[in-house]
Amino acid sequence: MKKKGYSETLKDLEAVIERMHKGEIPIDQLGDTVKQAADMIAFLRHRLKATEAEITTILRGLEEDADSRET
Amino acid sequence: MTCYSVSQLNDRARLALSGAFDENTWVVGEISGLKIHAKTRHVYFDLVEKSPDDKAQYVAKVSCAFFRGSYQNWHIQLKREGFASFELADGLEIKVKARVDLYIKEGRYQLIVSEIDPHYSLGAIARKRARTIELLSSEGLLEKNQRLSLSECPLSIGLITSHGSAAFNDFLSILKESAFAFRITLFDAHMQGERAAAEVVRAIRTLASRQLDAIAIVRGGGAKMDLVAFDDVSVCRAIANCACPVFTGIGHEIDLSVADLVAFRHFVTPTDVARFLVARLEALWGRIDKASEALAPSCRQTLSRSRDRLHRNASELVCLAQRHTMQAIGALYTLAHAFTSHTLRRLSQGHADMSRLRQGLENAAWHAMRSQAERLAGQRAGLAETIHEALRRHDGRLDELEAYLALMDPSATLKRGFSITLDDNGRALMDARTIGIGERITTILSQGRLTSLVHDKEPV
Repeated sequence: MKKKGYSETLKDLEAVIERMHKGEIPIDQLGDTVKQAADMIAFLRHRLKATEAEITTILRGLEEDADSRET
Repeated sequence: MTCYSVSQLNDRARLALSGAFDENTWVVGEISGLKIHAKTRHVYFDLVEKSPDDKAQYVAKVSCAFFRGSYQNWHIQLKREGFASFELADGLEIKVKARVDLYIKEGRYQLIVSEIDPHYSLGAIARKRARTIELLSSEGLLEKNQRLSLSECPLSIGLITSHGSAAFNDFLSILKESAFAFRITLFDAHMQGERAAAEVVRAIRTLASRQLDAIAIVRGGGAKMDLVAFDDVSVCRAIANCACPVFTGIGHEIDLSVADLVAFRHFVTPTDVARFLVARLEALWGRIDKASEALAPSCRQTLSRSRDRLHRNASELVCLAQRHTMQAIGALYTLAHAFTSHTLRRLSQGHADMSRLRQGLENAAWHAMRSQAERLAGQRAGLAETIHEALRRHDGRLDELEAYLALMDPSATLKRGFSITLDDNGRALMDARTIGIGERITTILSQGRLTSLVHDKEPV
C-alpha cells in the first residue's frame, strides 16, 4: 500500500478529530483512536521538521550563491 | 436497217477513214509523251496542237505510232541527207507523213507514221528562236543580264541542273579541285522535255531571291531538238530579268540557244563555266598578291617613319610623365601629411570619447547589477519568511489538534479515579434505568477491568 503524504494524513487526522468532537467514536474505542491520532501527529511533525530543514538548506545555498556573485 | 458487231463497225469505220484521206497525208503538230517500247522498239507519241493563247493547253491531239521498221528506214535516210543528229524530243514541232488508221481492237483512230520531215522541225526551231529574239529585243531584254557586273570574288553560286547528271559532276569537280571555298546552292531541274522550261524558270526565280554572286545553268550535250526549252521565251525572260549574272553551259557547240544569247556569258560545257569561275578567283588572288608586293616597300617606309615618330613622341611622353609624376607625388605627400595629422587628432578624440563612454557604461552596468542583486536578496528573504510562516502555521495547527486530542483522551480522567461502566453489549452506561437487576456489567478502571452483576440500583 502506498504511504500517505502530509496533506492526506492531515486530512485523515482532522476527520478523526471531527468524529471525536461529534461523539461518534464509542468510548471503549476512544483510547485506540487517540493513540492512532497521536501517531499521525508525530508523523506530521516529523515531515514538517524534515521539510523545514530541507528548505533552510536550499535558502542557505541561494544566499551563498548571491554572496559569491557580489564578491 | 443493218446491225453491226463492234468489230464490223470498227472495220467499216476504218475503211471509211482510210477512204477519206490519201495514203500519205502530211500532218503538223508538237510531240508530247514520246516513248520507245522497250521490247518492240516501236515509237509512240501524241501529236498535239497548242492553243495560240496558252502554250500550256492544247486544242487537238492524235496518237501516233512510228513502227520500228519505218523508224529505222527514216533514220538511215536522215543520215544520208546530213541530219545525223536529228532526234525526236517532247515539245519538238514536226511534220509527219502518215496513214490515217483505226485500231480496231480499241476503236481508236491513229496515225501510222512513215516519215518525219527534219527541214520542217529545224525551220520551226529557227522560227521559234527568231520569234523569241524579236520579243526579247522589243522588251529590251537581250542584253539586260549582260549589263550587270560580276563580283570579283564569285563564291556563292546557284546551280541549275539535273542532280547527279554528268554535267552536275563535271561542274562540281572543277570547283572542288580549286583552292577556293565555293558555296553551291543546287536547284534540281529537268533540262530537257516538256517540263524543262517551266522548271528552269522556277529555278531561276527561286535562286534569284537568294544573295548569290552568280547562277550557272548547265547540262550535258545533246541534239539540237533537246534544247528547245532554252529558246523558250519564258526561260530567256527569267534569265534576262535575273538580279545576278547568269552563266549557261548547255552543251551545244554550233548553234547558240537564245538562253545563251541573253545570259551574262555563255559557255559550251559545264566544265567551261566552272573553269571561268575558278579563273576569276585566281585572277583576283593574283591581283591581291601583286598589290601586296607593291605595297610592301611603301609600307616598310611608312612604318619606319611612324616608328621614328613614335619613338620621339614616346621619349617626350616619358619626360612629361616623369615631371607630372613628381608633381603629383609632392602634392600627394602634402595631402598625406595633412590627412595623417587630421586622422591622428580625430583618433585621439575618439579614444577619449571611447574611454568616457566605457566608464559611463561600467558605472551604469554596476548600478543595474547592484539594484538587481538587492531586489533578488529582498525576494529571497521574503520567500524564506513566507515559507517559515507557512511551516509555523502548520505547526500551530498540529499543536491545536494535539491539545484537543489530549482533552479527548479518557486515560487522564481514569487516572484521577473515575471509571467507565459498559453494558453487556459494550455500550457506555449513562442511565441506571437502562440496566436491569441481575444483568452483567463491565467497569473500566485506570489500571484493568472489573466484571459485576447488578445487585441493586437507585434510579435518580
